Amino acid sequence: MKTKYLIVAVLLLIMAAQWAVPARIIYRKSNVLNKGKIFKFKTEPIDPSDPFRGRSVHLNFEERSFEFDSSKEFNMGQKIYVTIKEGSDGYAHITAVEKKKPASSDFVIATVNYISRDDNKDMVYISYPFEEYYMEESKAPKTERLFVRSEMDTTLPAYASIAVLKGDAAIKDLIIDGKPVSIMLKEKESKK
Amino acid sequence: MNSKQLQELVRSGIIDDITAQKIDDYFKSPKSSTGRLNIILGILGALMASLGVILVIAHNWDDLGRSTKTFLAFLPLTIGQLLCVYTLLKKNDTSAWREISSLILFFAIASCISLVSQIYHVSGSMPDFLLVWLALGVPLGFIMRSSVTSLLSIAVAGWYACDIRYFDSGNGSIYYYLLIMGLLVLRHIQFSNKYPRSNFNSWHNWFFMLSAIICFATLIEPGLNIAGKWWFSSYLTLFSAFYLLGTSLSFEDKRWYNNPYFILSIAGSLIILMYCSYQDVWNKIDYIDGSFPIGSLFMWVTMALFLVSFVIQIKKATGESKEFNPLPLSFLIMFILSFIIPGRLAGSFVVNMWTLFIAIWYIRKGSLNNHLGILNFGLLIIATLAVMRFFDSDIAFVWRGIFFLMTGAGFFIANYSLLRKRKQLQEV
Repeated sequence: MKTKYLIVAVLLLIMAAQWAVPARIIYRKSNVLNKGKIFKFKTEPIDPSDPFRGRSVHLNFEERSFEFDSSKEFNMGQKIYVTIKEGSDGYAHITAVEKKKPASSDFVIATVNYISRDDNKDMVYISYPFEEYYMEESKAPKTERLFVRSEMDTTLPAYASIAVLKGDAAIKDLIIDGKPVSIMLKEKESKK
Repeated sequence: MNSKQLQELVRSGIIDDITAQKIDDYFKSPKSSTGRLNIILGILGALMASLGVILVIAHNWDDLGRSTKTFLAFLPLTIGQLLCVYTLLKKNDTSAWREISSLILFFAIASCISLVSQIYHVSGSMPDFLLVWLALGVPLGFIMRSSVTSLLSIAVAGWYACDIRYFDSGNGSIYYYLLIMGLLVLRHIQFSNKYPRSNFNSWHNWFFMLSAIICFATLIEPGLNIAGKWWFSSYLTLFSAFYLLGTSLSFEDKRWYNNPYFILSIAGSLIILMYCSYQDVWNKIDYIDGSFPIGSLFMWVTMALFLVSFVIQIKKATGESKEFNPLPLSFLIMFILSFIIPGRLAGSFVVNMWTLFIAIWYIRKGSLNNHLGILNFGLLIIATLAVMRFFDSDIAFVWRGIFFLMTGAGFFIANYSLLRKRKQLQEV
């Protein structure tokens, strides 16, 4: 009998851990969304699919590369700190890429996607932790078409609204022509 | 077993009337005839339902608020956990309940983490997700005594190893895979000793063997290029070690389909030998830097398996039973050839002769033991070798033809001789 209750106690501990993992994700991301500073990252999307997480729009950001001093060494997959600043155009721009935590509070923890070196310049290409926007599977291709149209028409800027807090980041929304993509899709559906 | 068969056994004097009645009662009782079926159907149903939940959840519900979606994300997890606690407290002796509730919870863990990541658009990497899933799911195999969860854990662990090394989809450590497999092996040993007749033991052996074959090369560090000859030598060593396991006392009374270590090690070794029988393979076998990759985890494990296999084989050959089988010694031949680095012709010639020797050994064994299956297995090896040489453009047609004729004649003569010997014994 005692063994049985001991086993149940161990199971309850494991169950607590099973709750703790997703709860931690929720706590961290909610904190970032509520208290983080909002930056606009201009986008160019591609549409893949992840079997565990439904259909997603893969976000390619214009600000995804940075020229660095050839004396610095970066490796593929390496953790980096990307300092960002809001430019005069209202969009986020990279000001520095470091291997250590910078003094500025406006930075995102990312990874090195790949390095490009030639005679003229050395570029580091960045993989951000907010490159997937998950949505209903039928809406993902429609969203991609909206983004493609927005690329051709410069009066329809598309960007991702990203909340940043102490290196952590979370997607607030995808914006096309000043409206969230969910509203754009609903307007398109209602016009049909 | 039906009544007619029981009556036949009673008439033959094998069992008495009372035993026959007991057997008849046992098979007619609902627990014995439907218990196993219930478990299988229950597991299949839970598996389908759990996968269905994941697919349904993967369909985003954009119209729902974040709080509602979060609540729904935790719902399968909560249900799975409640089922497991209920099972432990009230239905602990029923294996169907244990397997089904663990299975539901195992998949619910994955679906909860996935859906929360989806709601908050967390990118993450597949290896990190798989590792967390394993860390939270593997204990269910122990606490709930669930074999299905244990089997799924082996599969997911293999997926993790392949993802970090073959598909390179994220950072990860192969030591986690080794640690998890070590725990699952310990669990399997404990459970198979306690429940030796369980069908799940056989399933575990198959899963372990397949995981080892598929994931052995994941022990190679990223960026380390190992020459082909070391691949072949290492895999032959792995198969030799598993052959010893498959022919050990633990598997003495097992049918061939319950002994994957025996079957797959023989098949794997022969496949490698057949492949290395081609001259062209020896041309490319160490085109990458062929030096011995000292310090690599892959080679350390290979050396450990080498020592174990070598010592046990020597003991068997020199012991009382004087057991000798050339097939599991193939790793020695391959290692010797790899260090000497012979020319194209010499390397393939040695492998062909060695394979022929193995085939003749099996033919002789089949003949001495009056076993048609073993005899024909030896002939099958020769026939396969013959077919491969037929497509080997470096050998003249006349020699290929002669070899084929000899092989065909060998089949007829060997089978005819054995059958004639049996007939003579029966007449005596």
